[in-house]
Parts: sequence; structure tokens; C-alpha cells
Amino acid sequence: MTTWAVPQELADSIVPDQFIFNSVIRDNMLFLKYRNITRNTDYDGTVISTTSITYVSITGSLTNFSISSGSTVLIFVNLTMTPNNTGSASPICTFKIDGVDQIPGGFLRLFTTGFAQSVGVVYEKAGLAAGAHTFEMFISSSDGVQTQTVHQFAIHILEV
Amino acid sequence: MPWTPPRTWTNTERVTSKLLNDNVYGNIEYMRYLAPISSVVDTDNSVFSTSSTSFVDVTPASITLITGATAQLFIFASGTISPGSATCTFRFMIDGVALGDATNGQAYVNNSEACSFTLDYISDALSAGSHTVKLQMKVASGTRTMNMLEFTVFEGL
Repeated sequence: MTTWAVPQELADSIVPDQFIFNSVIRDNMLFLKYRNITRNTDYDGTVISTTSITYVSITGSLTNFSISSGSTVLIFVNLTMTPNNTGSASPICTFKIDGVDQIPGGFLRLFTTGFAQSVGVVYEKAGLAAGAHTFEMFISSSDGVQTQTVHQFAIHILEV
Repeated sequence: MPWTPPRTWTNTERVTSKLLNDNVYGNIEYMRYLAPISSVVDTDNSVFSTSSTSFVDVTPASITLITGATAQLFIFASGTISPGSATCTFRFMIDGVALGDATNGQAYVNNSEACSFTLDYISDALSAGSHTVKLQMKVASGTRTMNMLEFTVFEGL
């Protein structure tokens, strides 16, 4: 993984040397060409089933990733889920970055009882400091009774 | 102009127009304009039907790109499936190698009404050359029809 170096502005009095060419041109070009991507998937069909009325971690979704300074990340999420809407219940999903809930009301609710659904979400997160971070998804059942199931997930985190 | 792995410069070398064109100009142009991208969009309400209980190619959804070295492919597919209670399962194949779970693929749906699916994937780094990405589908029983499809593959930058 290369890291982004803020490009040096050149002036007439500067003689470009190998450091400038390698850090400003070579390494930044490599950074732009080969974005830092983190992938975490579970496709086996049995990720988690829960009746919890409070958020519980979607098993295995905790994803560690690192970014350079000044970066934004795009987070691509795919889920295969079977909601249970009996009595107006529904699954509610959210996610946390570094332990902070990004969408406290949840980013996803589904209403098709007993049928597996395929959904996708793209989320932009700016303002993260350079270094290591965590991403984790959570699910709850709105009535604390009906069973909500996640069968599969795919998480891709792309530094841009 | 293809992508050229950027050279490591040294203080003693003469910076020629060829070096700058190959290592700077050409690569900037590649990242801005030339990285390959291709899409299949089919909305004619009868994209593909199958009764196969093992994965088969969704025939319109096949894209071949010629990439630079260590390219990562960004793959996006979404579509709608006609009503029917049998489970429809989806997965991508890259150069003949299936992704996801052998049984459950990468996503599946089973809804007695029309429903949609969505599937994203970013590949590992691939070698320079030709790469083919396909979408595959199978059904648990009966026949299901894909009514609409959007399938896009591009070399990530």
C-alpha cells in the first residue's frame, strides 16, 4: 500500500530531485492507480438470526481497514436477508465506524415476510484520520420477538 | 497508451521527453480516460430465463476487458426477477473462477412477487491482459426469468 503525499508545488528556484519525482509523481500515481481496498465477505448462508430488540453485531462483519491522510472512504455493502414482518416487526440494520453509530435510526428496514431479499448500500465517509479504523454492521428486530436473519454479506471499503 | 508502472527516478539521470511521456503523461491520461469500462443494460423484460438447478451463465452478462498490470476489477450487477417462489441464486465468475459460496453463491432471493437483486465485488489484483467477467444464476426449482439487468465492469482507479 502506498500513501498519499501532498504534492509539492514547484517553483523556479527548485531543482526537482529524485525525492520529488519519486514521492510526488511515482508514489502518488501508484496511490491513485491502486486504491487501498479492504474486503470482507461471508457467503455461506448462515450469518446470524436474532430476535434482539437492541442492536447485535452481524457476525463476522467487524472489518479493520487503514487509510492515508486526507482520505474519504466509500463503503459498499451487499446483504442477503430474510425479514419477518409478523405483527409489523422488521429488521433494522445500522453500522458503526470506530464504534460510532453512523445512522442511529438504521440504514435498512425490510418488509417482505419470509422471503430472502438482496440489498445493496453505498456509503461515503469523509473526515477520518489517517491510520487504522474499524467498520461493523449491526441488526435488531423492531419488536424483540420476530426472528430476523442475515444469510450473506459482502463489505468492500475503498479509499478515495 | 497503456499503463506503465511508474519508474523510480535517480538524481543523475537525464529526464527526457520519452520518460516523462511514458511515466507521467501517459499514466495520467490512462487514469483519466483510458482505463477500460463496459456495461450491459437490458430492460426488454425478458433478459434471461433458466430452470437450471446448477449455475449457468446469464448470457447477456459477459464482459471482457483488457487491463493493465495488477488491475482490480469493480463489478456491479443489479436486476429484477419475475414472480415465483423458487430461490434464485447469483454469483460472478472471473476468468472461469466462481466467486462466493458453492451452494449459496453471492446473493439470493425468493419472493413470490417480482423482486430485485444487487451484487457488488472488487477483485483481487489481476495480471495484465484479457479478463472475462460473467454473471451466473440458478434456480431451486421451476423456471425464473430475469426481466431487467444492469451489469458494469471497470478497471478500478
